[in-house]
Amino acid sequence: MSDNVKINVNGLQIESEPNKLLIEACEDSGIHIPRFCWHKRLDPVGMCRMCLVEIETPRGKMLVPSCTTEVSDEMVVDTESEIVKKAQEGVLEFLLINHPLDCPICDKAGECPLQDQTMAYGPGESRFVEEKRHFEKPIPISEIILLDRERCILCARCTRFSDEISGDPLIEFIQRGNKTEVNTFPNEPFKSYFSGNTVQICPVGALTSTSYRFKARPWDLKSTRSTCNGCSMGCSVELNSSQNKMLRILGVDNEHTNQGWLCDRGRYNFEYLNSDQRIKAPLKKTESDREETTLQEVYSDLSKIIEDRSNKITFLLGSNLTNEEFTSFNEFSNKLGNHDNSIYLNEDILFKGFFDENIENAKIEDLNKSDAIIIWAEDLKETLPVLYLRVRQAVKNGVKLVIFGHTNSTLADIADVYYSGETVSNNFEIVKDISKLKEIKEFIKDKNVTAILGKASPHQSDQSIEKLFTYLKDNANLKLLNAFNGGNSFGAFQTLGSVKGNREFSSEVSKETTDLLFVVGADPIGKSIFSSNIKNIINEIPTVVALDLFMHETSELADYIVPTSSTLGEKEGTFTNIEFRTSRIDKLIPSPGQALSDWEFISGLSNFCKFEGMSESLTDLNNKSFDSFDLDTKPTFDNLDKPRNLDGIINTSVPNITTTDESIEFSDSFFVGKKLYGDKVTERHSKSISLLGSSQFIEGNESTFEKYKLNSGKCILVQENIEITVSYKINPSLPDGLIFFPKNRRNMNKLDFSKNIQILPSHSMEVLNVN
Amino acid sequence: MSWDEKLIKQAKKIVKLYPQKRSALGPLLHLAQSKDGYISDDSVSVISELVGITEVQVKSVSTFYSMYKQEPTGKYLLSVCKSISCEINNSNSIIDVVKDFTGLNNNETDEEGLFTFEAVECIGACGGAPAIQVNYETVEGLSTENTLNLCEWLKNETPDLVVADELQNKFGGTKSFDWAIADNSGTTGSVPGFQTLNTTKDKK
Ligand code: SF4
Ligand code: SF4
Ligand code: FES
Ligand code: FES
Repeated sequence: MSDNVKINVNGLQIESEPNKLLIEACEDSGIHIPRFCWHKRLDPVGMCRMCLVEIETPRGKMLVPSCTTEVSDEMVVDTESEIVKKAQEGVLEFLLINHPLDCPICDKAGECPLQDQTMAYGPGESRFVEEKRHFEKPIPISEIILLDRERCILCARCTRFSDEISGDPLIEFIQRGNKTEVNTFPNEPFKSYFSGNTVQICPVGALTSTSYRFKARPWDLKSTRSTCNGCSMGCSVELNSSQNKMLRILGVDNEHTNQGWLCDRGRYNFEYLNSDQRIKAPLKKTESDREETTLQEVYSDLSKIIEDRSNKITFLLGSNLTNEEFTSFNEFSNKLGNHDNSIYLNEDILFKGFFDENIENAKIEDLNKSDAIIIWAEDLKETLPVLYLRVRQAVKNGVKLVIFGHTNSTLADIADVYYSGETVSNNFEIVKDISKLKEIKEFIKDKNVTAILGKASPHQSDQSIEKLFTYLKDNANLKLLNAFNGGNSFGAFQTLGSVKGNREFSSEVSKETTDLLFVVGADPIGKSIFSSNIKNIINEIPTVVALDLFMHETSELADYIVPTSSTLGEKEGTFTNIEFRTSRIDKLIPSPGQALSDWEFISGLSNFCKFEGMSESLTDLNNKSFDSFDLDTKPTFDNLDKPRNLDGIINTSVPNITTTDESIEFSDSFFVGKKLYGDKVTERHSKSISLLGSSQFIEGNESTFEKYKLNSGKCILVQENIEITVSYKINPSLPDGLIFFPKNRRNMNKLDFSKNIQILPSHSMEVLNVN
Repeated sequence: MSWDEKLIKQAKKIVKLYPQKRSALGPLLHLAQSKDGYISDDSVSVISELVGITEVQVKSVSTFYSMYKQEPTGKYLLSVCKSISCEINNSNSIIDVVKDFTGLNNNETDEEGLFTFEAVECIGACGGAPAIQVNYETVEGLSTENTLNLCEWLKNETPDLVVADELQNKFGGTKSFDWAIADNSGTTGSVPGFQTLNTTKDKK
C-alpha cells in the first residue's frame, strides 16, 4: 500500500500503516519491544516505561515510550542501543524495588512477564537493601478474585479493562506515589461479569482467581485450544489441565469473536468436571430405586423397544452438544423412519428467527463497521456476555445504538435511544408507529444497520418482532444477528433436519406420540418455563433415557441414565456460533468412569440394532455435518486444524426452524429471562462460582412495588400451594407494572407463568408464623 | 444520602457549571471537605451519584491529592515545609520542634484532636523560608524558638480562627511578600487556595 509509512528500526526498513503505535508496528514486523502496561486491546497509557526506545529527532536522539509514540514517515528507531538497554535495566530495577519477589509461592511464576523480562532485560544484580513496602496479602476483592497489592506493578491494565472494555470500573488506583495501590471501594466488591479477564492480563501475580490459586505450575499444564459452549458467542479458549483435571480456562484472542476476553461464567464454570457427583456408570430404574447396569444391557433393553416398529421415539436435546452429535441424533432419528419431526431442542425462546437467502447474516465484526446497531433481544449482558462487550466497543468507536425495552437496560447508559414504556408495551409490542419514531428514522434511513434481534421474552409474539424487522429491512441496509443464545443452538439449527423447542415439546408430545424418549444433556424440568407441563409428559412416557453428566430434576425421572462426557474438554467436535462461524471443540481430559460421548452412545446403540449406513466415526459425522454446505473450505477437522483456520470458518447455509407460531399465554405483568449465573447443575457443582447464582429475587420499578405495598426488601410469591420468599430489586428502567423473573434461579421453575402469581409483602409471613 | 438538602443544592449548582459532570469532581470534594473537615466515604458515595462515576473512581481522585484529607484533622493543621528552600534554611529542626512538642509523626493527629502534623512539599513561601502553615495560614521566617512559641500559644490560647497576619506578627521573621488567603476557614473551607497580594486588608 502506498499510504504506508516507512520507518527504519535497528537498521531495517519496515513499513507500517500511518498512525500506528510504534510498539505495534515493530511487533507486526517481528521486532519485539518489552512492555508491561501496553495491551493491544486497551488504550495506551505509558505507565511502566518498559517500552522505551531511541528515536532520532531534530534535537538528537531521544528516549520515548514506543507504546504512546505513533510512527511517522522516515522515523529512525533503535530498540537495542546501549542507552535503551540501560533504560530497560533502570526501569526494571525500579519495578523490582517494591516487588516482593515471592515467585516460589506465586501462581504467575513460570509465565510471568516480570520474571521473563527481568531475565531478558534486567540488571542481573540487585542493589536494593532497604525495606520493601508491605500490604496484607492477598485480599479478596470479589468472591472469585484475590488481590496481592505487593506484587502489583501499577500498569493499570486491570483498571483500564474495567473502565474501557467492561464498563464497570469497580477497581481503581488509590493513593499516590509510593503508596499507590489497586483497590475497590469499601464494601463495594469487584462484582463484574468480566473480572476474570483482569487476572489473565495482569502482567504479574497481583490478581489471582480463587479457582486456580495454588493449583498448578504453568510448566506442568497440558493445554489445548477449544471453543466455549456456554452461550452462542463461541469464544475461543485455551483449556489447561494438570494430572487429568481441568484447572483453568483462558481467553484466546480471536479477532472475529471474543478478542481475548471471556465472561466469568465461561471462564470459571468448569470445576464441575472434577465433581465426585458426576454419574460414572449407567443406571437403570428398579421398583424402588435404581441400580448400576452395563451399557450392553441398556443397549439390549432399548433395542427391544426400537425394533418394534410401532413404537415411536422422540428426542429432547440440550443445546450444548457438538455439531457431530446433532448429526448423529439426526441420522439415528431418520433411521427410525417414522420420525421426521421428533427432535426438540431444550430452548424456551425458539421461533423461526430471520433466516433466508434474502437476509444478510451479520458478522460480529460488522457491529464496528455499521452506522447504527439496533437491539431487541434478551439481555445481552446476561445471555451473550462477550457480544455485549463487542456492542460496547462499537459504540465507543462512534456507532449509534438504539435499544428497544425492556431487557437490555444495562446498555441504556451508552445507548443513543432507549425505547421504554411509552413505546414498548408490557407484553413487548411496539405501540407506536415505527416509521414515526424520530430517532429510528434518523439513525437508520438508508444507513448500514446491524440488528441484533430475538425475542426479548418467551411471551413476545412473533409478529411483534417481525414488525420491527420488516421496517428495518425496508428502510436500511440491514445485516442481522439472530439473538439465540443457547450454546451450540446455531449448530443444531444447521445440522438437525428441523428444530423445535420446549414450547412445541410441551404441546405436541405425550404418551400417544412417544413410547421412548431420549433426554440428552437437558434439564427442562429444572430450567424451562414449561417445567410443570414437561414433567407431566415425562412422567407418562413409558420409557425415558437420560444421557447426562449429573442427576438433576429431569434425569432423576429417567428409567435409564447413561453417563456422558462434557463438551468442555472431554470430547472432540465442532461448534457453530451466532455468526455461523464453526470452530473446533477439543478434548483435553478423560471422562470419568464409563462416561462416553453422546455420539458414541448412539453409534453403539445403532450397531446393537444392526442399523446400516450410519456414520462409523467422528470424522464421518464431522464430514456429514457439513456435506451439503456450499463452501470451498468446509469446517471439517482437517480444515479447522490448519493454522489459518484456527479462528473458525463461516458458512451461510440457511437453517430450518419449524416452530409453531402460536403465542404463549402469559400475564401482562410478568416476563422471564436468564441471569448469567444461575442454579444449573453444572454451576452448582463448580465451587468457586456456585454461590454467585444463588440469590433469588424479582425486579421491578419503584412504583410497581409500591402498589404491592412492599417495603421490607423481601416478598413472597404465591401460586396455588407454592410459596417462595425472594428479595425484590428496584430496576428503574422497567415500565410500570412489569416484573422480571430470573428463570434460572432456584425455585423459579415451580411457578407457572401462564397463571396468576400473587406477590405479598413478606411481613405477612411473619404474621402467619406467629399465629 | 448523608448530605442535607442545602448542600445537595449547592452541589448540583456546581455540577451544572461544567459541560461534563465528572469535571465537577474537584470542587465537590472541596465541598465534602468543608462539610466534615475530611472526605468521608459517605460523601464519596454522594459525589459518585452526583457526577455519575463509580465510588472507587471518586476515591481514587480524593486519595491522590494530599490536601483532600482522608481522616478528620485536629483543630490546628500544622504543615511544615520540607522542600528545598526551607530545608537549606534549617526546616529539619523546625520539624523536630513541632514533632517533639506535639508528639506526632507525619500525618498523625493527637488524641485530643488539637493538632495534626504534616511535613509538606513547597508551600510557595521560599522567599521567607523556613515556613509553616497553620490551617493553611502561612508564617514565614521561622526560628526554632518561635516555632515552639507558636505551638504553645496555639495550645494555650486555642483561638477559633487563625489569621496569617497575626501569626506572622507574633511568630514570623523575614517575610517574602504579602501572602494571604481570602477565605479564613482553613481546612474546613471549601477553597484552601491562595490569593496573591493585597488581600490582607479585606480580611475579617
Ligand atoms: S493488579 Fe496487575 S493488572 Fe492491575 S495494575 Fe497491578 S500489575 Fe497491573
Ligand atoms: S460469552 Fe459465551 S462463549 Fe464467551 S465465554 Fe461467556 S459463555 Fe463462553
Ligand atoms: S508499555 Fe509503554 S510505557 Fe508501559
Ligand atoms: S521550599 Fe518551603 S516554601 Fe518553598
